[in-house]
Amino acid sequence: MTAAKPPDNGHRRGVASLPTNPRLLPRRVSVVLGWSTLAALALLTLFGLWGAPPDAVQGDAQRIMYLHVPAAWLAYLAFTVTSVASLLYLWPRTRSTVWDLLAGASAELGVVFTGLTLLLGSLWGRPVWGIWWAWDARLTTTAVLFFLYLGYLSLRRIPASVETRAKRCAIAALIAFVDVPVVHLSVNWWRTLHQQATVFNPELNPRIHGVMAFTLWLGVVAFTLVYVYLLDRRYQLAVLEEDLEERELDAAIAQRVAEAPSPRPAGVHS
Amino acid sequence: MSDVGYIAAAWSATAAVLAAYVVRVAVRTRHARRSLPDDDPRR
Amino acid sequence: MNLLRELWVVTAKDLRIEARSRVTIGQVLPFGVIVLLLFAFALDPDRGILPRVAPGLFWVAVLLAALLAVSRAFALEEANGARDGLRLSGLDTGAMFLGKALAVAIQLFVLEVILGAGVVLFYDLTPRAAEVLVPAALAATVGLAAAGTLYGVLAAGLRVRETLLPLLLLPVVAPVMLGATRAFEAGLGLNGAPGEAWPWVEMLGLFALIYTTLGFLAFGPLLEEA
Repeated sequence: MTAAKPPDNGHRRGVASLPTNPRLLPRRVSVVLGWSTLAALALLTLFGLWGAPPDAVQGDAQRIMYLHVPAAWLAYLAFTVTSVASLLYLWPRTRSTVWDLLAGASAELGVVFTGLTLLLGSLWGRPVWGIWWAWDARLTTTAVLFFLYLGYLSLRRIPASVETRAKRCAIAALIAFVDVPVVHLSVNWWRTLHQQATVFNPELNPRIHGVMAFTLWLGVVAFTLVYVYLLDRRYQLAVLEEDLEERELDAAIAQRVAEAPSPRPAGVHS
Repeated sequence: MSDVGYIAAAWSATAAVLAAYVVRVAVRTRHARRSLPDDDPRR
Repeated sequence: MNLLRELWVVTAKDLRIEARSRVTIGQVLPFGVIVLLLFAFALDPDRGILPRVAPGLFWVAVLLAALLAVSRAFALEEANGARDGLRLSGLDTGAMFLGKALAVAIQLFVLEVILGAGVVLFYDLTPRAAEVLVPAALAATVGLAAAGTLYGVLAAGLRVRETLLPLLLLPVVAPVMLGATRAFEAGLGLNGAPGEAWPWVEMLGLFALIYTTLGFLAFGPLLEEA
């Protein structure tokens, strides 16, 4: 970018095109949702740590699964939402800043929860498998997924005009989404073609106890609530920060125009 | 470390990540909202 | 056919620039060879590990070189508003994508042949089963070039291009790395029979097809915005 370039408002979206309402959910719904999320998490802790019986084979370590599985579910849900929102952004008839900001908010949650999934998986793997990390197909795919969307988040932070960034990010999100099954397929082949004794022995997974299944479902419900609540909060933050950035930019441009020595207003030709 | 240790680590890690994220978003939201002019409809 | 002619215009342009500037041959290729040497320093050559892991090391070296080649392919368009020239040239954007990807693929393939010779030389490996290795390398190269070109244009014109491109591209091409290494291992008889390479070659072909299609569709909108 050259300094001589006139302020190019055509490339900027301006505050006006931002959604007026920064919330996905009405304030009251959000408050109720926040408290129900907390209650669900407390209930999950109660059932996960004390309510459910220890696993016949894995013992108490299996309790980590009540967090691990829901976290993984949340990550996949978040990335799916990112992809759908990106698609809606790219589709000319539904193109709106709302979808761009929603995709970014959801992807950030997805990355946080993919990281958490990997961490919890390690904490489970150490006592049960005896190792922190195994080159298991699902683990490897999840790790690649983590970096794939980490790259997407970096792309979201690039200094570029908002329209450019939104379009590039939407395309990148869709490419990442298409890549996931390819990665999974290749890693799956890799680990099944060349690994004789797998750590996942089907006989190690006996029929799930009723309370255990309930606790797992409770976990999925609680984490879905966490997702919806945090998505609403994160989306609001995105709208506010975008708004602030636009205003600061407007102010800076106005200052430059005022400083200009020429009597003509610089670079205004609409 | 015993199983209990790993379970405690898992629960506290989850709680820490969630809490840190909520706090971070809340702090940034507060900051953004305070910096916006009073007449902004998004405040 | 019009598409093919337009494609070749772009490819020829990039190859002509390479012929005059010699960046790939003069900088990227020596870089790849140094990577091969570094692997020998890291894994003591006396312990006999090198020939066994040669396919993996070879493809890591190619991957790192490919990053530079893709970076270079888009650095070409940065100076003197060349990207605007490309945009205004009236060429079909799909043809542009295919042309740029083909130029990258040709350079990568030359690089692979020379680095392959380096592997044979340095790591004491006997080449065999060319009927498996060549299709595997071709499919992997097309996949790398297509994905690389797609992400190259995605990161083009950004101030953080050099650091962003590896982070974006490397996770995406993980399947190429996996597939090409397994195919080479099978082909060279290091891990299974040469026939076992075919599922991997098919996977590499699928990857190449997916990314060529994606790039063909997405290049236009991405170039417009850049």
